[in-house]
Amino acid sequence: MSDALTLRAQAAELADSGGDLLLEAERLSRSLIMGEHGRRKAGLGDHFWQYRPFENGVDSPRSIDHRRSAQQDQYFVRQLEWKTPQALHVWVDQSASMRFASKGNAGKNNRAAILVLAIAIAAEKAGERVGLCDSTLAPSRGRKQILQLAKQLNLQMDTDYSLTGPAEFLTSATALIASDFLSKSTDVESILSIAADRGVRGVLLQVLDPLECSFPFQGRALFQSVLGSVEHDTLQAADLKSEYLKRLADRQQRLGELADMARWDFLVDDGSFALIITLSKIYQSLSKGRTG
Amino acid sequence: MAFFATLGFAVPWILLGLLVLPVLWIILRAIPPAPIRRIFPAVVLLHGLLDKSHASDRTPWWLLLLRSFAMASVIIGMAGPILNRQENVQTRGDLLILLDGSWASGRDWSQKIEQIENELKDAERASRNVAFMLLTAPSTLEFRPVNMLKGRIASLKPRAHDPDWSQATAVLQAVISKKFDTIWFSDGLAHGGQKSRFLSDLQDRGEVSVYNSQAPLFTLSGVSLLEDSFAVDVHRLSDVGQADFTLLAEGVDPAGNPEVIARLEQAFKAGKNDVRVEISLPPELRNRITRFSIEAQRYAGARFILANELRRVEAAIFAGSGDSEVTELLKSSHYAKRALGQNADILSGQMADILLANPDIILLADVVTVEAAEDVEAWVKGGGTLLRFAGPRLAGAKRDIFLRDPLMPVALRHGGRRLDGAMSWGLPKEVAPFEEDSPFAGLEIPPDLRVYAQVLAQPGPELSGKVIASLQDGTPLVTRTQLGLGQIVLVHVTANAEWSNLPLTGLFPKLLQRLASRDNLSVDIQDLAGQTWTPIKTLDGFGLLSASQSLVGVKGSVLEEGKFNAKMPPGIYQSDARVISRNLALNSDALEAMEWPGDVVLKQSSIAENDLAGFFLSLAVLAMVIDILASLSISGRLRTSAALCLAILFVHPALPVGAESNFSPEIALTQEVVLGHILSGDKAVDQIANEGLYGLSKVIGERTSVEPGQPVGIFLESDELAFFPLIYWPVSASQPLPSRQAYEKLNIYLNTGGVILFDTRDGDLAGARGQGQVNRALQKLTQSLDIPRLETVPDNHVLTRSFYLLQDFPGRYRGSQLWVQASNMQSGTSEELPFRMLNDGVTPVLIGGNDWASAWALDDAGVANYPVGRGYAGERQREMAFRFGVNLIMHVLTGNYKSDQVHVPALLERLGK
Repeated sequence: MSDALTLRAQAAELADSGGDLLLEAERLSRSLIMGEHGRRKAGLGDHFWQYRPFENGVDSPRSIDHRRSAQQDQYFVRQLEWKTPQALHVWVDQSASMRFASKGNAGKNNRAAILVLAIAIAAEKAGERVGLCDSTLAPSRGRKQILQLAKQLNLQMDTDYSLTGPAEFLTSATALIASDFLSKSTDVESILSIAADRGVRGVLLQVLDPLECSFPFQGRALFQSVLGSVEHDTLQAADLKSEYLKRLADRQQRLGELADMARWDFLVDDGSFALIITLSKIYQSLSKGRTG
Repeated sequence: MAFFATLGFAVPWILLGLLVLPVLWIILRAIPPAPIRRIFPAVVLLHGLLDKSHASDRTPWWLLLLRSFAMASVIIGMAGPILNRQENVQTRGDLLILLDGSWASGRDWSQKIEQIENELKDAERASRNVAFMLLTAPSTLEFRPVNMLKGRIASLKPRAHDPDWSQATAVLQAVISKKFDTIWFSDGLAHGGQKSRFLSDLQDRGEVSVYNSQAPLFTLSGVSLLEDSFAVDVHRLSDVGQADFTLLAEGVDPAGNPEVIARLEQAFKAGKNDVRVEISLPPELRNRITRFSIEAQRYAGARFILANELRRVEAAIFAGSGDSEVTELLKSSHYAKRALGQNADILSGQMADILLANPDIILLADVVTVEAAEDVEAWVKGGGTLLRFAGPRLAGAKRDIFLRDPLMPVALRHGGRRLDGAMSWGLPKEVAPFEEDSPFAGLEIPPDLRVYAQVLAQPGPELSGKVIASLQDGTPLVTRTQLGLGQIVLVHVTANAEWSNLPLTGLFPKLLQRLASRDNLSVDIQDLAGQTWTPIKTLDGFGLLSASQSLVGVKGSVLEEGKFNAKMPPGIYQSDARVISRNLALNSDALEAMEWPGDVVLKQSSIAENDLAGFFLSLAVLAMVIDILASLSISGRLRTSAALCLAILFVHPALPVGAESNFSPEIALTQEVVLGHILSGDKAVDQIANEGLYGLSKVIGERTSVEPGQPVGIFLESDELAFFPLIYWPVSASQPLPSRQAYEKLNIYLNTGGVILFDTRDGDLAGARGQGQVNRALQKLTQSLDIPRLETVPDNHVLTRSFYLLQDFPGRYRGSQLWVQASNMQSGTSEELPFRMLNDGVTPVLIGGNDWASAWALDDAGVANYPVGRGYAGERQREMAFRFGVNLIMHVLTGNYKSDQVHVPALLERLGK
């Protein structure tokens, strides 16, 4: 098969999966109601703010609200509340380790992408700007932005563990970074420090496979990363269980501490809950960050 | 360690392979099991972790042990282990296997065959040539390699007579120069010293070793008739202890099937070797006896066959004219009829016709001129008994009539005499005691027996020889003369109570019986000579009677001699109309145990050799399978569920493979109506039943709203019955009796609304109470079931109208009765209720024999599998069979609803009013 054909087939596949992701995310996002952020002053917006007397020369005659003006001998102008959209940065770890899926479960990247997209769709509907954390897709509004996002989230990288992408944030934006956070913790530190510098708050979402949380292995085994860059040979896998679980807990604690320092939130999705539950947790964290 | 003493090896040097086992152990220990590759992204977290122990870097010791065990089993299996290995006979050369094969050999024949096979194995190993010789039927000795003889073992059968010593000696003489060893399978009897003589002949040729039968030996020497019973003489091979045995009188039932008529448990007392068993049976039973045998003794010696020796006599009674005009009690034939009637069949008709039936005895009461006298005379000469009674007419007949009459034993004086007349001096006479040589000897004379009148014989020199009973004054009461094979008897008084009270006494029937019964067991032997006797049925060495094949008739004199051989075995012989049985009649003389001289090797019957190679090799395979499972489980590849499945497979091999027990998913059975049939164990029957129910299910699905699923075969012992609305039970004679638990289950099923349709599949040919094999199987099977009172399906049974209107219930056969639970008559008469008031209207059992399954059987395409009847009528019958099936299922499924439906017109009518 020629390269072009392969490429095209893969592209179609990717587009398909992007579509699936989008559908799933749309379905999920319907359960979220994201309000716009009122500025408590008149401006561009949908909601009524106040009637004020018509000032000749300042207001155009077109802006006269005739229903209100008809009640008195004076012209009134109907002012709406000024609303500003916020920027939401999203990021899904695209390294190979995220592709792992144990039997009967969806891939980690899949879950992460659905959650992130759902948040992004809900935010976009609420009038916020959504984009990635790097230069490839700057925050913007519109349905087309979501489609772009879906496509971008579906890309895959050829390294086992990498968290070097998210480096560009708009000031005071909100961010959602989903990964399994199995790469070096310094990656996370650097991201968080950049974010903190810019006054960005957000959520670190750790997506794990149930297998990674339970470690149900026995007997002689050779553990490999998805691309095979890291290997571990053991004679009695069951003996490693407690040690492994302890290390996992340590890692999560460390991530939590890092997030706290940057006033971020750290959430874990290990596949044991329905997506909607994780989604509402993320939503709560993101809203809290905005109002608080 | 007795086990190992008996264990030997065919190729012992292979056992050296066992030395390799330690090496194997070391090699296996060194190699750890292969790891499994697992993709696991969180492996980074494992980085740097160390294993706690090194336990699994080597194969666990028990796995090593298992593998070593498997290897050892393979090695031992290859070495050809043999249990109970027999020592090889050192001598070489040819071998004669000699069997007595006599009437006593059948008792442990299968054991002998086993021993012969063992000996042949030995001979094969030593590559000796072997010949067989059966002493009862010696044939030329041909020494052959063993593998050419193996097929002949099965054809070795004992015979029902003594060894043919002269022939055997001749056979031995034919190979006079040959040397060979002999293994003699003896019946344990001396055969009058002939065996010892033959033994010394054999010892001239080589070494003789003997397997001597040790089993107890019984014989029946004969049956003797007693006054109103008979006795069987039983003997045994001398033995000191007490021995129980059961004497069976076997015969046929009225339907012609064999049955045991009497079973007598008897015993030889310690030290006694003869016993006489007296059997008293009603004549009806006694007539049906065809043979006597000792239970569980399957050889010719323990059988005594009868042709018709215990058969009822046939008698004809003729009375003089005028007999029909008097009242019953005065008739001259009345008393004779009553007296003979107990154990004789009375023929009636014209003399000419009766003679054709060849009765045993003809009674003439006061008949002067005998009809068809020449024929009667011929009949008497052929063995008949003509019994004449005197009377007024005989007394008044002219004297010269009797002078010429060959049918009168003595010449009579004219007029007779009257003893109690008013003008006579004398008193009624008493009867003198019977003489020793009289046929009536031993009979008691009742004290009140008086003779009032008699006819008198013309005195003569030969008169006294003819008198067999006389009055006290010496005048004859009964006279007899032999004529040919038969006899003519004259009783000098009337056959009624007119001239004497003899017919009123208990003596009368006994006299008649003595005269009528042919003392055949002794009589027959005396007069066999001069005729040629053809064997009809002959006895084989196992005591079974079978139609004789290709045996020519033998001369009566030879038969009388009773020296049985291969050409004249014991059995049933026929000449013209006479049928007699010839038995071995082995009395204690024939039972002399053989004393073997000291130079003969007496072999003990040993346990058969047992080749254990297969056992060890399968053990090895088993060990390897366990090893696979164990290795899988160690390396974590074995899923628990898989292990469970395998474990079940191993623990539960009882689940029959191939049989159509698709029964396990109970859920499937409860989702739709499923018809079940009992698996009888007979493959063909079960298949027909399954196909039949499949066809019926299909038809029901097409015609009604019931849509049954695939029919299911039921194992009575293991399967739950509650799911089946109807169970079809094809009764097969070969079906083993279900266990008690199964019966309990069946009873619960029947009592809780289940229905079983028993089908004897024989068209009820033997009749409902018949004794056919299948019927008996049905009786046996249903003995422990709670089956209510049955009746044949009445015309107004709901089964005749539950879907179709039916008159009868044909299957592959038609016309046999279908039996259902009898209706409860107390609940109402059929006038009031046009339907049956039964408990919920459903009969728990239906019993019939129309072989419905065969008629119902359809294949997937809906084409009938088995023919029913012919042409259109046959198809019509099949249609009716289906209609019966539909009605039955409807009846079963709807209970009394269908019978209530019958009400509807009546209810509507009432409502209309």
